[in-house]
Amino acid sequence: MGNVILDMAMSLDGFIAGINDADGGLHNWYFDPSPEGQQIIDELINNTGAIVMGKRSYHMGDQFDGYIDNPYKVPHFIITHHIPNQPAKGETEFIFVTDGIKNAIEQAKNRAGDKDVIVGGGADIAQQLLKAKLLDIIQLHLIPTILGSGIRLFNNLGTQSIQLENTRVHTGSDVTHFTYRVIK
Amino acid sequence: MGKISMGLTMSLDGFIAGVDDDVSELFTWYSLGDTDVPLPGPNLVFKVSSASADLLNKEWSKLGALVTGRRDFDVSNAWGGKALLGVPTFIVTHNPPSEWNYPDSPFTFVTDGVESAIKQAQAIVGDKTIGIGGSTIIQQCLKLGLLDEINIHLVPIILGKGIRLFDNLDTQSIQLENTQVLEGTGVTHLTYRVIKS
Repeated sequence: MGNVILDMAMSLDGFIAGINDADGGLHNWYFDPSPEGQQIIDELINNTGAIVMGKRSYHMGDQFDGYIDNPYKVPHFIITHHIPNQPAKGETEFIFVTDGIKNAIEQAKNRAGDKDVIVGGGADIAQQLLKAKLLDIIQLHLIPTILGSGIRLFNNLGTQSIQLENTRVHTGSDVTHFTYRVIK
Repeated sequence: MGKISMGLTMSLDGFIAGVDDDVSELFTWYSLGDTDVPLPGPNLVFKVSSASADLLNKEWSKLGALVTGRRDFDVSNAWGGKALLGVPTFIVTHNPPSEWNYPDSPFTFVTDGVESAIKQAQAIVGDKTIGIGGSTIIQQCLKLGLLDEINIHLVPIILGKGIRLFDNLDTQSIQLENTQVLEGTGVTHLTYRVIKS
């Protein structure tokens, strides 16, 4: 059985996007990767069996290029209240899940088999999964920038602390990749 | 001229203290290793990995003065009356406590702001480093473009609530250069140079 992995790029001050969803340079390492960055990307693509994301993240990708250039040839589970009339135009398989995060993760795990389920945002879905103890691993790509404002990844979590185990630190150029196991 | 630097332990979700200033879950790395690091000031010995010990000793040996806030001073109960890292300490406050205001006090109270406190520290440190403490003082320094270096001791925990280091900034984004990544036991030490625009 694979792991459920939250994978996000984050600024040093904890933002995964700036104001108005500005990228703020957080994904330069991904779109213009160094050889080490490419290794991390290849590892992700090879190990991913399914993707889970929120409705807002789905729409952002849809507006960006309609998932035409999606390197992840795996089923994408979208957590939403409303199924869109017209799914994105690319060849990606989208499954719209309207009965909650737990079911979305369950379905994604079944399809992923031995591979991992990657949670690709947004922050709200990540927070719900963390609180529901549905994440096994958190992989953060820490970018050397302070954005000052935007969308915080770790927000509205409450007062219960969550212990992690830092299993890997990988230093790239202009990014440090951290892998944490969530201790349940 | 010495650089202006900060070094604090931070949770993955960005907190430097939990609820009610509780730092117990953040500071576990100070006792997870087998190398003794006595603090230059009070009678306190950390036990950390040898990599962390080297880093702390190096950081502290370069330190010439500390500038911090009144909250830091009060919460720590004036660090038991001794300068925390054995160097002159400047406290930015509107209301200096009279009991610590005497000749040769380890604490200097500065009532006219962070910039003034840093100027006073610069006058005595020579080419040594000025350490900045307290989240609000650090935030002011970041906004004023005064900070040269950020040291984060990143610990593997999500606290969920407490005092955020990078809060109330509402700035333009600030670019950093990640100059060092060092793995200790239960902590990763990250050093950033602030790129001044």
